[in-house]
Amino acid sequence: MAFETVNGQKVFSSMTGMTYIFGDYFVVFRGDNFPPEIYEWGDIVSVSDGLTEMIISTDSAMYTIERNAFRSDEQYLSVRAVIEGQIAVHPSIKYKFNKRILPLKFLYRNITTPNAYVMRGVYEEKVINSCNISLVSAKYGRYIFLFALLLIIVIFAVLIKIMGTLADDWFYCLPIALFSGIIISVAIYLVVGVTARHKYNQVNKVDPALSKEITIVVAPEGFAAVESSVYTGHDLIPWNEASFFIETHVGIVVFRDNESVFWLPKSYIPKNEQNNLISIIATRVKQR
Amino acid sequence: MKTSIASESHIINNKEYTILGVSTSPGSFGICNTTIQRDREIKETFFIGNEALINVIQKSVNDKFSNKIICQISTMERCGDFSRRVALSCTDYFDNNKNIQAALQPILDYLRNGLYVVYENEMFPTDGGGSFFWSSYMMSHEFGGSSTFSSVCKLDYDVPPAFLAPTEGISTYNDKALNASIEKVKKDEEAVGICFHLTGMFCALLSNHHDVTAALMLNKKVRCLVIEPIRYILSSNDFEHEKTSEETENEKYLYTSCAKIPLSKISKPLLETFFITRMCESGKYTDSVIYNSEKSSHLKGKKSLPKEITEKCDKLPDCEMLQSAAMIDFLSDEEINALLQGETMLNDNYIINKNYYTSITIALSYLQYKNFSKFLEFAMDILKNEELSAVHQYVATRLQPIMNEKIYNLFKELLESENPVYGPIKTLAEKYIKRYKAYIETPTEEKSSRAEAVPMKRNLENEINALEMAKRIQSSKVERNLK
Repeated sequence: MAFETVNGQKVFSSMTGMTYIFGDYFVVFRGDNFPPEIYEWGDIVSVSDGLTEMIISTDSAMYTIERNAFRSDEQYLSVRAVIEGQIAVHPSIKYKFNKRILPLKFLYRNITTPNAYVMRGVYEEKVINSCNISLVSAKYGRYIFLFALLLIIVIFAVLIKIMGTLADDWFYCLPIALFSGIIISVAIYLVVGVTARHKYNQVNKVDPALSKEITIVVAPEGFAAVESSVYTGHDLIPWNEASFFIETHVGIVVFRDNESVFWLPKSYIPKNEQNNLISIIATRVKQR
Repeated sequence: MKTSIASESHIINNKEYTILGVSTSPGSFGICNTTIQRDREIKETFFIGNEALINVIQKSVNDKFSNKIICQISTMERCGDFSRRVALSCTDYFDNNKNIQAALQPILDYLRNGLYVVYENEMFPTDGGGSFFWSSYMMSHEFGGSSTFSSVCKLDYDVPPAFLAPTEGISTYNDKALNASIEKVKKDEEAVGICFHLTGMFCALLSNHHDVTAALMLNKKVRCLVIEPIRYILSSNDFEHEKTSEETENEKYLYTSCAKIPLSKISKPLLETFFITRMCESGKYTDSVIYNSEKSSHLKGKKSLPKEITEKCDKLPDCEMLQSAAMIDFLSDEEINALLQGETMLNDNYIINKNYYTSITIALSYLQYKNFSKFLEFAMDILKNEELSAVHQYVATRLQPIMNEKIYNLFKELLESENPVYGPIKTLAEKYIKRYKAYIETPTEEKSSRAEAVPMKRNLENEINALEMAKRIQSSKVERNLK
C-alpha cells in the first residue's frame, strides 16, 4: 500500500466534539463515549474532499470534518495522503476531490529504490504557467497557425470585396490582412496565457500543496511528485502509468490519459545530471 | 523531544499485563518493515539504532498463518551502550523489584512509537525445533511456530512466545562467562532476561545469554520479561469457537500472542497511541536499517558448544507440543479411548477437532509435553489398531527419535506382521530397529549423558511424507465408504 509510512493523524473537530484518527484504521471517538467506532478502510463507502469540509461516509454513518479542524496544511496533506493510499487498496471507495497539480496518491505503489534522483523545491507560478502555455502551444500550436493563416486570407478577401479590385488594391489589402492576422494570433496567445494563469490560481486556491515544498523523484522504477511533508522515500508511480511526455524550454511534463500528472521544472535538475535524467524518462515513456 | 510513555496494568486470566504507550520517541529500537519487493516477501527487521540485528521474512505475502524465516545478521556488540542499558533494566526489575515502567525506562526511551504489552513468561532456550537458540539463527531458514497467528490454534487460543533468538553473536560465548553464570543460576535457581517479541512464538533475547545457557545445563527455568508490540485488532467474529458469556457480538480486542485484551479495558490515550501509530511507520533510522538488513551478516566464526547443551535442547518441548498444550486444558482417559476408537466426538462435543488426523497430531503433541508415559502408551495403541491406519505413518514417524524397548518390540512385531495395513510403515519400522540396535550397543556412559527419551531430532521430511500418505489413505477410505 502506498503512503503506509506516513504518520497517522489525530484530528479534533471543535464543532462536533469528535476526534478522528486517520491511520491503518479510520477511528472516531465521540466525545468521551467509549469504545470508539473503528472502521477498516474497506468499510468506507465514499470520501468527499471539498473546499470547506471533508465528508467520510460509511454504510451507517456520515462524518463531516470542517477544514479548519485540521491543525495545519501539513496535517491536512498527511490525512489526504493516508486516504488516497487506502483508496489504492480499496478502489471501491468513491472519491471526490478538488483540482490538483500533483499526481493523485492512489496512483502510487510502494516501491523502495536505491537509485533515484531526488529534487526539492516549490512549484513557481511562472514555471507552471510557462509549462501550461507551452503545453497549449504544443497541443494547439499548429491549429493556431492554420487559424491565423485562414484569418489572413478571409480578411484579405473581405477587404478586396469592400475596397475594389484585386489588381488595383492588393498592395494595400495584403499588409492590412497580415497585420490583422498577427494581432489576432497574439490576442489568442494572450488569452491562453491568462487562462493558464487563471487555471493556476484556481488550483492554488483549493490545493495547499501548491505553496509547499515539493519533492520530485525520478528513478528507473517510476516517478513521484509529493509534498515534502509526506514524502518518506518509499512511494513511486510506475512508469507504465504514464502515456507520454512533453519537453518544453522550462520543464518536462508527463501525461497519463492526456492529463498532465507530473511536472518537472528544469531548474530543479542539477546541470550535470540533466542528460541522465531526461534519458531515464525518454527510455521509459515516449515523447511527443 | 523527550519520549512520552503512558502505562496501565490489567489482570487477564490471572496474569498481569502492562500496556505501554510510547510516543514522540526517536524510534531507535524495535521492529520495522524493511520490505523492498512487496510482491515477493514481507521483511521485518529487529533493529537497534542503525544496526539491523534480526530479519524476519514472510514468503507467503498474504498468509498470516504461514511460518517465517528468521535470521540473525548482526550482534548487540555493534549497538553501543544498549546492552548496558538492558542489563540495568534487568537488574532493576528482577533484583531491585522496581515496577515495569520504572525498570524498563533506560530502554523505553528508545523504543519506537506504538503500543506495547509487557509481561513475564517462561522461555525455552531453543529454536522450537530442538536446536540450541544461540547457534540456530545464523543460517536463514523457516521456523515452526513463527507465523503471525498460530496455524494450529488459529485465533481461538493464545500461544505465548516460548522460544528465543539471540542478539549476541556466538563468538562472544566463552567458558569463563558460562562458569560464572552457572554459579549465578545455581544461587538464583533460575535465569532471567529481557526479550523483545519478534513473531509468533519467537522473541529476541536482549541480555543474559550465558545465564540462559547455564539454566539449560542445570535444568533450571528461564524467566523473561517480554516486550511485545501490539499490532492487530480482532473482532469476536474472527474466532471460530462459540462465543462465551464474556464475549459480546462485535466486541473488539487488541491481539497479543499471550492474551486478547478487550478494547473496552484500555484507556482512551493509549488507544489513540495505538491507532495513530501505523504498522509500517518509518522513522529516523528506517532507511539505514533497510540498507543494513540487505547487507551480508556481521556474525563471525563458529564456536563449539558443550555436547551437553545441544543434547539437552532435544529434551525441551517443541512448538507443536506447546501449541497443542495451548489448545487442550486436559485430556481424560475417556477422551483418549474415544480417539483410539476413531471417534472425534464424545457426548456430542468435539474432543479436539472435527478432523480425526488433526485430533491425533494435537493429542500426541499434548501428551508428549504433559505426560510422556501416556504419550507412549497412546501412540503404541494407535499403531496396534488396524483400523487407524490413516494415522499409522504419522505416529510411526513421531516415534522414530524415541529410543525405547517397548517401541522396539512393537516395531519388530509390526515388521513380522503379514497384515497389508502395516505395509506403508515397514520401512520406518526397519529404520527404527536398526537405529535402536546401534543405540543399545553404544557405551552406557555415553548413553546416560544423552537425553533419555528424545536423543534424536525429528525428521520433518518423513513427517510431511507421512502426512501426505495419511491424507491419501483417508481420502481413499472416504471414497470407499461413499461407494
